[in-house]
Amino acid sequence: MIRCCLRQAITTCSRINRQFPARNYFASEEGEDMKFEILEESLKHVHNHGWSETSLKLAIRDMNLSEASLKMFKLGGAEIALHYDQSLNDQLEDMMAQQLDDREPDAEPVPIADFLQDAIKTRLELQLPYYDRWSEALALCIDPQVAPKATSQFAHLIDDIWFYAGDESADFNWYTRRATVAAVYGLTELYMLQDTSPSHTETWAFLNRRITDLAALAENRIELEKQLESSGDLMKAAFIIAKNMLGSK
Amino acid sequence: PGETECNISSGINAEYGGLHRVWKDVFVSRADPQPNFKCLDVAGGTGDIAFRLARHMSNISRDHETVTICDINPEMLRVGKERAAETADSFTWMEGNAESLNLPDDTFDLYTIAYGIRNCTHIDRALSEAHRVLKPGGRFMCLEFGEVSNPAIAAMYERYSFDVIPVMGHLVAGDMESYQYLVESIRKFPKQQEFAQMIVDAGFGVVDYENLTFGVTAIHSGYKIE
Repeated sequence: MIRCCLRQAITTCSRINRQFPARNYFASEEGEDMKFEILEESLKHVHNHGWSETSLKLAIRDMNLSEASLKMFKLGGAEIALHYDQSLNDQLEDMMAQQLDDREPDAEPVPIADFLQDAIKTRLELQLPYYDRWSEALALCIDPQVAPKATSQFAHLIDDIWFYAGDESADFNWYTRRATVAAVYGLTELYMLQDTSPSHTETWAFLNRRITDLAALAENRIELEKQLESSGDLMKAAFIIAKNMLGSK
Repeated sequence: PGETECNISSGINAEYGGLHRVWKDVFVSRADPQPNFKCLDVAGGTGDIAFRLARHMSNISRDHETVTICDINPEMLRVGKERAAETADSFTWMEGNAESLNLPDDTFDLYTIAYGIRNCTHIDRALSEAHRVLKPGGRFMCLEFGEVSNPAIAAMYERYSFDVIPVMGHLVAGDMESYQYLVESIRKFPKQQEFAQMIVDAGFGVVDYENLTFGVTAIHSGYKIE
């Protein structure tokens, strides 16, 4: 009994300590490379086994590594989804950077609404190879352990999109900009999950309508800060809707 | 030296009492050995960690790999064998030196060392031996006394370690010197961050540590990277 209480006390203390893993984590390049390779290899198993420890285990076995390395992944199978998500974000950034490089110096800049629409569509299309498992990936992101990482990756994606959109107007402050595009992105992603139209034409029409709304709002200079929550809450809401959709299948 | 270590071992149990056992329980649950893991426990001749590893694996599956126990001290191994007779498990017992293991390369999934590495003359050699005998991707785990970084708690602990333990040691084990040795070896051992860096330097990746009880004890973990 006492031992039980002692154990509780100790694990609570250590849980407090683990809130700040950055301090205790010694990243070495080779270590990060190994994790990266395992995660890449795991993607091959996701269609059959989902974003799960099973997929990680199969990859580890394929690579002739000890199964003990499974514990490198503290968030389990969710880390495969986070890894894949990040790799697509990187891919989008490369594409946007390339587009900027290819542009003629005195060419007209792309209208912001068009740029946003194109960036969101491109990014969502990059996910299509894992469309069959996508709602599960979103559901995983609601987990309180996974959510911080998922949200911060998403926030960086949105920031990147705005950066390349090249918006220099002072109409919105930083956080409303993030929130508005995050909202459009999140809603479009959810719409896509239940869109059965060929080539997702309905989704792109939906996206177009949302972007048009956004442009109209900008024109009318409505005080969005008061009406929109932070992008973090919006993403959480989007994930919860995804989870409910999964449950209703 | 052999006798000192035995006294210290029973002394630690006397002093840190129940806390000591809880730390070891947490250590093994963090390790979470699976039944197919080849486990090596070093410097744990009396079997504390090895018995827990075996029990953890038995709870998952009755058929599991045998845990190998290695210790430099034959007396500790003898005590361990006696205690093992009372468990249902079998173990592989080896007399050996953590700094120069008589074991082949790339063999083990899990290497554990509890309250043993600070007694090694060359900690870096113990680490590189651990690296050698582990399979690629295999895990190194160490349970060891650490530094309490919170100044208020550190002050209380310091008084306890230097004032209380030696005196009680004298009363309990009748051996003031063992306790002085224990307390000194804790003081001389590198702090958590420094030790983690040594583990990285030995060729391990994804290295981190977890403090238990404000840092009185810490669990360090790393994986063998090619």
